[in-house]
Amino acid sequence: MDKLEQLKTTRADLDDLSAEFSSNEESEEGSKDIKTDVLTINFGPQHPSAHGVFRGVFEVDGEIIVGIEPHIGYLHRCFEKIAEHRTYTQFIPFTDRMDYLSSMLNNWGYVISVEKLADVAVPERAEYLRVIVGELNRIASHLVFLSTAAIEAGALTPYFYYFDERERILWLFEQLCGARFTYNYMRVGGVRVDTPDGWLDDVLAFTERLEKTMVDYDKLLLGNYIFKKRMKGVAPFSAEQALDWGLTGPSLRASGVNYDVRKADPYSVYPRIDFDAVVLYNGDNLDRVIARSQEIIQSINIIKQAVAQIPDGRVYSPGMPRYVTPPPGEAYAHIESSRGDLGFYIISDGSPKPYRVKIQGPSFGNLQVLPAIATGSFFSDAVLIFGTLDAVFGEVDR
Amino acid sequence: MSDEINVNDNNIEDLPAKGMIVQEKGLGYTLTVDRKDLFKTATGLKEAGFDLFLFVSGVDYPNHIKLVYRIYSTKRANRMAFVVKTEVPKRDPVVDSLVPLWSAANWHEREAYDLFGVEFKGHPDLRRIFMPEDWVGHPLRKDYSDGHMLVSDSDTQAKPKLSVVDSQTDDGDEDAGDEGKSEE
Amino acid sequence: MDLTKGQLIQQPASKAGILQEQAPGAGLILGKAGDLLNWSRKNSIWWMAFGLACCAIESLMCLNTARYDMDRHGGLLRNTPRLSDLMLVAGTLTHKMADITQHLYEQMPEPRYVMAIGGCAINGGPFYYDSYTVVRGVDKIIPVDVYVPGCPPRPEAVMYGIEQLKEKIIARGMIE
Repeated sequence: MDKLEQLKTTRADLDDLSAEFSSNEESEEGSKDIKTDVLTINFGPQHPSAHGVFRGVFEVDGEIIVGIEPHIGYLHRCFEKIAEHRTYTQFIPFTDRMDYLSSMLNNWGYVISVEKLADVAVPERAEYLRVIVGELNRIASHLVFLSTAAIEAGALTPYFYYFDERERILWLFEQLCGARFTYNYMRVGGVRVDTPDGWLDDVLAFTERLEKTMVDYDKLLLGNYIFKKRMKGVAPFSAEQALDWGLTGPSLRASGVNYDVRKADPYSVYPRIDFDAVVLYNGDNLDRVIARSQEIIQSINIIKQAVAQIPDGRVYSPGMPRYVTPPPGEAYAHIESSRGDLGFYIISDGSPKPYRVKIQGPSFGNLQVLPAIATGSFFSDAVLIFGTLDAVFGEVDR
Repeated sequence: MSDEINVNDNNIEDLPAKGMIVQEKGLGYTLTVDRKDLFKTATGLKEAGFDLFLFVSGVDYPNHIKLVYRIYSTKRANRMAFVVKTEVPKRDPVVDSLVPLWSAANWHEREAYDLFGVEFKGHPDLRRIFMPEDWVGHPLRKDYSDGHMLVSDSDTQAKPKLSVVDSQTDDGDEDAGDEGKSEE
Repeated sequence: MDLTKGQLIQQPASKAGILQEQAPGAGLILGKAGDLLNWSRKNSIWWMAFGLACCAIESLMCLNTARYDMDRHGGLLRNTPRLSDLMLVAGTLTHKMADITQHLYEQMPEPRYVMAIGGCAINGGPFYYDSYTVVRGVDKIIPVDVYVPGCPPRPEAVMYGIEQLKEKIIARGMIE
């Protein structure tokens, strides 16, 4: 715990440092009498900073963005239609491919909804394993966020370090379920397999390591004057605006709204684990980055407690039929994904296939903020703002 | 734990149409309204502190399309979420847009328009969002088909398959034993 | 310098694809222009990352990191089609994206190569059935040189695919 405290003080120093920077100092006098035209610039759908396939039509007046028209749907893969043609279990691998940076959490969100619908109990060991893999996956996802945020600000070095750490998580997942990326690990009523021997020790060793290295990485990225100068005060979003536009997840919490599903509507074994929802108050780009960085620390904290508390026993509910057939009815369950409030609304008509599956992807809600949040910023900050909203297009387009 | 609040609690006293609020299994507090009253109800909810619009989903039934809204409150003491349901007939799928209340409804309503063909009156920019502008039909309707789509289970094959599956679930022990192997 | 007196050592095309001669005082390399071009081309594949979906993170971003390090194969990531030789199509192609993909392919200078990464780019993968927007394979639109299966393939698999492409480049005489 000392290390965690130490880490927190390091962060406080960082915050103090970042507070040194005064707000925007650009002088706008003198440029007022220059006549400018509004220029339309197309961005994407193939662009290295588009995080996939996003197209935005930017209207810029000089350096200032005056309007954005986002176009999405380039990766619309019809998950909701496919779900109606698959059995409940067959749809689990598809959820992997939705938000592909946090596949475990998507698995989890789906099975938790089916469990609510079919009234299935989950063994305690499976719940703890879900928490451990879910938080590991959250760390992996945030590492990708931090590295892409660094790349978009022009810093390439953090990318190599963050991805190295991410490879270690993928190695753990590979040992657990055989896949690096699309895991298909959760089942309705538990998880697919128990851990291999010594896996939990490996997880602990990894968290110990990450705790130390994150201090260095934070100095590298968040301690960098240029990075902070680029990020500080850019595209601030107040709590009222964020709620009005339906932001969820770390981006909402960076604006000062304490809405974390793990706290607000606790599921699984989170009530037994002591952790804080990361809430910051400026709502600018820098806060959105710091929120992710601090969530990694919270996730390490959660994993350590979960590994300490995990009981022995079954990982799969006994007597589960191979084809889950929930009674007719409706259920909605949601979890805190690494991007926000991920919900599945499932309607059953009593057959082995769902009648309707509605996926409430947090990226979809988060991305529609872009025109509101980026208008008025510099055009050179557009990809930074877009990056800090952390949209994954598998989930935006579904 | 937000689902555990008592319905008779003072918390819902100030909500509109509080007599019609039911607690549905699996969904929590649910309010089913006529489509004419949707905007009025939503305004009441917004005034009562429900500030986070989470989604609107269409559900296609043979004669009507059901719209399911989920709205959350970060301000109220017990942090509750509400599900509002309404129905629109397929012949005239028009309903009031909630964009004036929550800007977040913008893309969600465009999605429902794109995939279900529900028209939202008063929406500032009602266009298709996922599909190309010139696409014909609304794909998430049950009767949708096009020349491109391959259906894995056409109706003729699906029915006998389902009955076999149902009978299998009765002798669940065998299946459970099968799955149990993976634990060891 | 009388070249006819020099000793010509012809190496098999697959190894170096060049003719080599030791001239007194200086090194001199002779060869067919096509072989030389192919040899240099295969060792400096500039690839355009065309990330569409999940495979882009797993195959392309990891491929650049220190653990897999595509640079040591002579591969260099370019972000514009006009500077690249190889298009890595990583992910699911939809109807809405199909025109753009073709447009990008046509912007690439000849000779150009395409690698289809992952099940979706090969034939639609998991989205083959019941999907109303997915194009079942990128080869319906543009010619594909190498297919790398997997959902998604490991970065090692993509590297193996690039080695396969190198053999293909060497085997194809561009200037006869």
